[in-house]
Amino acid sequence: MKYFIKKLITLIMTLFFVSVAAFLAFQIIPGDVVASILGTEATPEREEQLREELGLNKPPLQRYADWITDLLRGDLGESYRFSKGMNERMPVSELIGDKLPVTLWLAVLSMVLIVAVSIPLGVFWARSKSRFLDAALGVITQTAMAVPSFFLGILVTYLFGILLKAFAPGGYVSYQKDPAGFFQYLLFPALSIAIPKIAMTARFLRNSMLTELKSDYVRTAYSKGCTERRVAYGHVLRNAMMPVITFLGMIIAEIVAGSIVVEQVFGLPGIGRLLISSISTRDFPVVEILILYITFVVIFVYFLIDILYRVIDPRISEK
Amino acid sequence: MIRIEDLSVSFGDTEAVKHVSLDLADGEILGVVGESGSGKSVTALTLMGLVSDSARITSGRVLFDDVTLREAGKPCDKALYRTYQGAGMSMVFQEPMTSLNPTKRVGGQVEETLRLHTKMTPGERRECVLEAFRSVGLQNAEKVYASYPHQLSGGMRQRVMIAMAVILHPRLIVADEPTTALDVTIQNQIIGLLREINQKQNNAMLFITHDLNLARKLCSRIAVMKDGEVVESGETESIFEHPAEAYTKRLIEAVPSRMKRKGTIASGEGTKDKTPILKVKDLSVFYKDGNNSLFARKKRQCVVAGADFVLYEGESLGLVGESGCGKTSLSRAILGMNREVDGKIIHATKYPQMIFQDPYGSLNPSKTIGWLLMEPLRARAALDPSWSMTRGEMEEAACDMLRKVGMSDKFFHRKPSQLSGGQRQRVSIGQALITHPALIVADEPVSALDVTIQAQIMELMRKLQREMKLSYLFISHDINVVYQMCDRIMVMKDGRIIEIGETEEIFAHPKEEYTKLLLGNS
Repeated sequence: MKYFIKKLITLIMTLFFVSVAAFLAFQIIPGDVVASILGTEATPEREEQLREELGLNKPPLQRYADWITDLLRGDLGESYRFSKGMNERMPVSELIGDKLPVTLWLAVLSMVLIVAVSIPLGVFWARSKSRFLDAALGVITQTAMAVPSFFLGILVTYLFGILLKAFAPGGYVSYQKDPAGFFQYLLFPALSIAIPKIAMTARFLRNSMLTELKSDYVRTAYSKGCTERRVAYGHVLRNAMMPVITFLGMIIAEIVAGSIVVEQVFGLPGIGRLLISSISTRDFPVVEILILYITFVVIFVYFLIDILYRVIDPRISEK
Repeated sequence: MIRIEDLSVSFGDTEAVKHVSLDLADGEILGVVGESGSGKSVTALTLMGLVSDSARITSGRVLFDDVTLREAGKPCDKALYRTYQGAGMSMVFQEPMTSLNPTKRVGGQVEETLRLHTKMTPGERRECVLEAFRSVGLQNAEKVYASYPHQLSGGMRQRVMIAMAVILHPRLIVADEPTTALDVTIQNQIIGLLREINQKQNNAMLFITHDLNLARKLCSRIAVMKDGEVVESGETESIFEHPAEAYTKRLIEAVPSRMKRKGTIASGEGTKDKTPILKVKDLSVFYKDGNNSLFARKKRQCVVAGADFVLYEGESLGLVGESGCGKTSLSRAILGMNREVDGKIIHATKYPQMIFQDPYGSLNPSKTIGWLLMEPLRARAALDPSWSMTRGEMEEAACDMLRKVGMSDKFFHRKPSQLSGGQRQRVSIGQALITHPALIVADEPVSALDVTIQAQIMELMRKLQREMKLSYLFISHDINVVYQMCDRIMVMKDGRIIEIGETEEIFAHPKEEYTKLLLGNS
């Protein structure tokens, strides 16, 4: 219990510091949202009017205080740039509410692919006695790791979209319209994200397994008459997963925070695209919320990893 | 019942085991004695079918009853071996901590043997494991069953390992240094347990050890191995009384024992009129909990309480105790490496030095021996400008030191990995002595070494003590080693010094029960 309270306090403190840092960064970087909305030919009166509308004429400290009080009340604020209907600005919650599920589902699908493929592959690789297989897997994973994701995205589009006609490139359907079509489409960007990560994770697991296989307890297991398969899955895998889990955590955090390039290549309306456009238009309320979201996800994932550690290795919780 | 005939095992080009023949009958305990690298473990692992795949059997075979388990030129038949492993033959390993899977409960690990070889139901298996735990003297078997290895003490872990090995009453038990990693008092219990199992179940036991005294206590026959060969074998007592081979004689002589004491310079002289070099008054040492959190308040834990003693010039003072008794904490406090102390430490000299236990870990593997020996000189020069030397002078001093510790100049440019354990420990000693300190704290300086090397290093330390007028605070868990080296002895238990006195006096008339226990067990 004490542990959870500690983690919670850390989470809140981190979110606070990150939000301050993001706010400060926006004070410092050049570029003005008003100029970017109205263009260079706007009159000073119009600029002043918009500034007042957006609340930008207040001193920075007060602006931050207002923003954070709103946030604590559950009001995420309104976008400077996007509007909803006539003369009404788009609430950030609605703006993100559309795009977040796309990114999250993409992340979930990628993670399932990564875990489901890389763990059996890593174990298989570690157990393979054939030198040829070992070398072949080495080359294949090395290549998969080295291919940049945009290029992999193009390859996947070409192979599955154009040659095999497994999906229609650019034909994204939203979840509300057609759930089956949505997942079918999402599978291919997920594949582009997963392939390099599968290669890395499998490689990592293989090395970790090979180290663990040298441990004394492996010898003990054999001395009891365990088969090699039993030793690999029953004894070694659990111990070998420890460093791999840290690695998977880093990957999850990276994917959930937005796979910007892959979203672009496959034309997915996820938060990666939103983040880029909001930064370039200085749409501060959107950026601030997205940054907080990413921070939260990263910390939360690490928290889950921490718990997973304790489940796998009983030595950790007792220090 | 077990026959190893003319067995040779090689790894690549090196032959680890050369034409070894051993045989074992039901109920017999055969000791295989040898120093590290003598091939005793490889022989045992080959017998058990556990030797790594890179090993080749170049001659001979292994027979269990009349079944050939392993033969020269043929690959290891793993499926055949599996029917024996755990059921017909089993093994107890040296390190009970690492030999158990750290992430699984020990009950399940023992139960796995039953799962592999019997058709018992889960309930029966559990009962059987609990029964085995009780039979190896584990009280509260239910609690042990649900424990993870790290929650058990070293002795308990080794009992679990033994329970795992004997649960199916195998006809052969191979025990590879089963007590080396344990404290002396625990050692004796484990040896007693193994003997009891042997008598009850009448299984044959192959007992591998580097410790001759231990082999003498337990084994009816002994085979002495050196460089992969059996140099001598026969009835235990006849080997001890009339060793035929020179190597066996040397091995027996090297074992530190109370029968033959080699005097130190101070022996025979009273200590009363001597000048103290180190005074420790009412010293308590603490450790802060290593918790680096913002939230938790740091707790101090007392590891040494009220230590009070004086070390005189030219004297060797022994500090004996089991692991965790606070002997290393005390030495670290004396050297100023732990400042969480109450009480007084008064040094008569500056810059005392330390010799460490593990000559493998305590030398930086990426530096040359010469660099390592010169490093203390550089460090001293940084503290004290009068010690600044030219490079030539430093090299001269390092070469001098090499000769003093019995090594030639040619080692100057070598790396630690090219040296044997004994040579490394000589370098460690050289590092400690090169700045001419008067006080040396030696923390288990010979514990990681083979007996013959142990004897050489102790001889060297005695010689250097005479030549350089050194005072030693000599820490060891081995009371016989201390007996060989020290003028006076302190016995430590649970952070307190419970007894201090002249070596002969303590050995002849120990006052404390615990001291008697230590003496009786070794």
